[in-house]
Amino acid sequence: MTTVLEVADLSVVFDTAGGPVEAVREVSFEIAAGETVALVGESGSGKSTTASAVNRLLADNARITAGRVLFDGVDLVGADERTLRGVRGAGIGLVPQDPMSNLNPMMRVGEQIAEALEVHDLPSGPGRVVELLELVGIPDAPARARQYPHEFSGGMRQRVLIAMGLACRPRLVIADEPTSALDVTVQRRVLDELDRLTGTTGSAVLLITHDLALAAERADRVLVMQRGRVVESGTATDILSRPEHPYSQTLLAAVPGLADPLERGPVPGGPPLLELRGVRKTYPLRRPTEDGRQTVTAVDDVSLTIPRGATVAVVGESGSGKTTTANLVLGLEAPDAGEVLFDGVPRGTRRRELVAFRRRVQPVFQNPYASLDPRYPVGRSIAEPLQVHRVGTAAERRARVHELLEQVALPGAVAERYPHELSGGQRQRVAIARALALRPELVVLDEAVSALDVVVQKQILDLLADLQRELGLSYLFISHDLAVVRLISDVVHVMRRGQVVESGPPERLFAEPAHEYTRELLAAIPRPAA
Amino acid sequence: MADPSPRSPRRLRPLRAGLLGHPVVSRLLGAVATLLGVAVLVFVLLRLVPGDQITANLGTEAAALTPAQRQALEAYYGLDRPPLEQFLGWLGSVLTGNLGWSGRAQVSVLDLTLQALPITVELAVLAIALSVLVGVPLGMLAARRPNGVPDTLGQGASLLGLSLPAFLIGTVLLSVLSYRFGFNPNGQAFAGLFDDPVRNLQQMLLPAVTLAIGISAPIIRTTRAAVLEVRGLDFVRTARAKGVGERRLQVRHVLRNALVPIVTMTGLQLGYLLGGAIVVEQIFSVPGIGRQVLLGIQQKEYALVQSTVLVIALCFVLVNLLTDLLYRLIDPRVRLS
Repeated sequence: MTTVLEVADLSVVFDTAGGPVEAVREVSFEIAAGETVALVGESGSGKSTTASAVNRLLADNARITAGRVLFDGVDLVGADERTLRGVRGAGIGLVPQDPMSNLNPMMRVGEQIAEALEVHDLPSGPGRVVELLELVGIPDAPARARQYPHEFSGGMRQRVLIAMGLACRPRLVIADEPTSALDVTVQRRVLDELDRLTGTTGSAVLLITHDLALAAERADRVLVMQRGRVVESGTATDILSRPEHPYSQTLLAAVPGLADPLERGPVPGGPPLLELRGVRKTYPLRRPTEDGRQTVTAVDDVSLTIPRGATVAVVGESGSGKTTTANLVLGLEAPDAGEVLFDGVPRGTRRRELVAFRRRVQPVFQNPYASLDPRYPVGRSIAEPLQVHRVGTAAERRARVHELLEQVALPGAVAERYPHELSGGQRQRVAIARALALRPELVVLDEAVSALDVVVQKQILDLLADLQRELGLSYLFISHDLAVVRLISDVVHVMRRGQVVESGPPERLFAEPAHEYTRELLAAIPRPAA
Repeated sequence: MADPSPRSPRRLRPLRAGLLGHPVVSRLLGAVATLLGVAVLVFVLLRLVPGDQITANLGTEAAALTPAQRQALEAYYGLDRPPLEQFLGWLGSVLTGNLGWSGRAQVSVLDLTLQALPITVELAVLAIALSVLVGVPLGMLAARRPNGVPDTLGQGASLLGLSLPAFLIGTVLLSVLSYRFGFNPNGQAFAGLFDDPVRNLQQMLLPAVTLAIGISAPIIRTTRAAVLEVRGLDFVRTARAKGVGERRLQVRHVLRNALVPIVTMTGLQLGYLLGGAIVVEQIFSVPGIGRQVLLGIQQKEYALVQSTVLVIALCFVLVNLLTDLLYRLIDPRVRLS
């Protein structure tokens, strides 16, 4: 088989305010025609930088300091802009990560696809554009081609990006986390589409992902990267069954679809802590739908109970109503119908009653970057709930902050740090510490681990389980990821379009899913046939 | 999640109770409120300044008036009526198209405005056109390499343009060109655009350049900042990955997305210019709306000042509405909402 890409001893340095940072060190690998090779690692491992070095689209402050990138025998490291322009798109296609930000919002989708062909002097008429859109499974392609990106859903935009990346039938496609921003079931469909298309064009694929299971499922060979180096490489089956490097083992152990569920005791009996009874929430639409509806029902007759000391999970994709459910539980929204019972009695709606309620129920949100005030040292963020509820003196609050940091396994000195000085995992620990400040009984975790790398995700899940045991907490765990939910919950509710379609303990849902949608969610978990 | 089906031809939106919440309606209401506020403010401010039309006309001799004479004159100018009545009376006649009478010029304010406003509009449009033609390319050039030579030069030049007052630029331009080169079209009687286009444009050249020097500075800066921001966005990199060349990238991807802040800044500047570049009009003897206000203030012709300022405010509001319309043309996402 001919080699399409050969990367040899590649090193990349970023010039930062704090001096040069080596992001990629002496990385070497080859990709043969038609082959799929996955680069796997956490954020900061250098996998995306390696990919950007291949089509020479590194950030302005990055330099290739050593090595070669041979594409079809031409060294791209020394190539001039003209040569590179000819290679980009025509020889090396790119399918980028975030479908929301990678299309030009001011340009019609059809124009953007046509442009990919035009710049390489390939036929780019409307017929070809429609053909490409149809190829990636976009219905009603002629009309869709005239629309703008904001009129497309995330999954549809990702398909457009695939059509763009593959338009010139490139010999190599770089797929940089091509589906991480999508709903799980959409992820699977988009990846299948990508597989099928690269199969027909015979393109080789360089797949960049943080998900080892996904890499093993989709790639022929896997390279594990850590701190800029390739620490292990081999066939997908080898890496999965016999990971040699300790880091590969850690990565593998953290993959939610493969890991063992955390140890859990029996669900304690007694009256439930919180109960939703036939709760409904509708929102007015800004514009009526095609069939003339003026409202959307985000949560439709949902009933669930959260026993003391238990973890109840709500799983669903975007638009399923899971976040609205969380907001209803938190008392951030009032239901239009139905009842919220807390501690056996209906939750009051007066301000004073809600303030008292909030002392006992606290949230942790998804985005650890956005949920902490960047201008507050984290100690102040953690102490804020105590201040708001006028708990303790300043000295007592300081002591409590240190106690909380200890509980979430962070050193006390972190209290003086600002959020931007912490890693994503550390920030989420801070957010958890803040939620625990008032000694709540229920913590609502809304996608609390979704933005984290798998290894950090696993650590936070372990922490949550420990805290639950120590403090007797109840959790409402909201997630889009059934694999993660399986690790931590006692009861799972699967939501779709505002309704709970199936409920039960995770073991049963996994072993014998009753609802078709649950089966679809299960099938979407990447599980390599190792 | 189901992908939304392609939109069928847009239907008419049913009329809803929230008519006041409709963006166009609320915009118009806001515009009316703004104009009313301007009317009140200018009315009050004018009367806070010591002196009135009588003292302005007669100067120190006004002190020699007998109370009866003064009363008669006050009645003539309508100054004896209570302020609220004066205000409502003026506003009422403005609404019926009567902007008042200029005793000094012996012409109606409407006629004065109809003469002066087109001149100011011409000057403003010329100045804006010049500064956009110069400012946008310079801003893009500066953004190509931040802190590079063109950028540093551009930053310095725009700082200079911002700092130099128009009266200085205008006077220097005028004196250098007229003394050294004998070029002084503004020394002749002012020619309208349709009477003598060549002389008119010659006369407009220097004031337009003077204004453009000051205005292109913020346009350069806005363009530079907007282009720098857009250049770092993901879709620009994706376009590069398609093999799109630099020129096409700059125009079709970067500039188009950077246009909204540039248009905002340009609209704002145009609005200010329509308020009459008083100083520049005075230096170059351009009989625009700025000079009209200036004369009105000197002569304490209340109706003239009030009505002219209201017309200026109306222009400002209209330019703002126009800017909003332009957003809709530029950005497809605004079109929908």
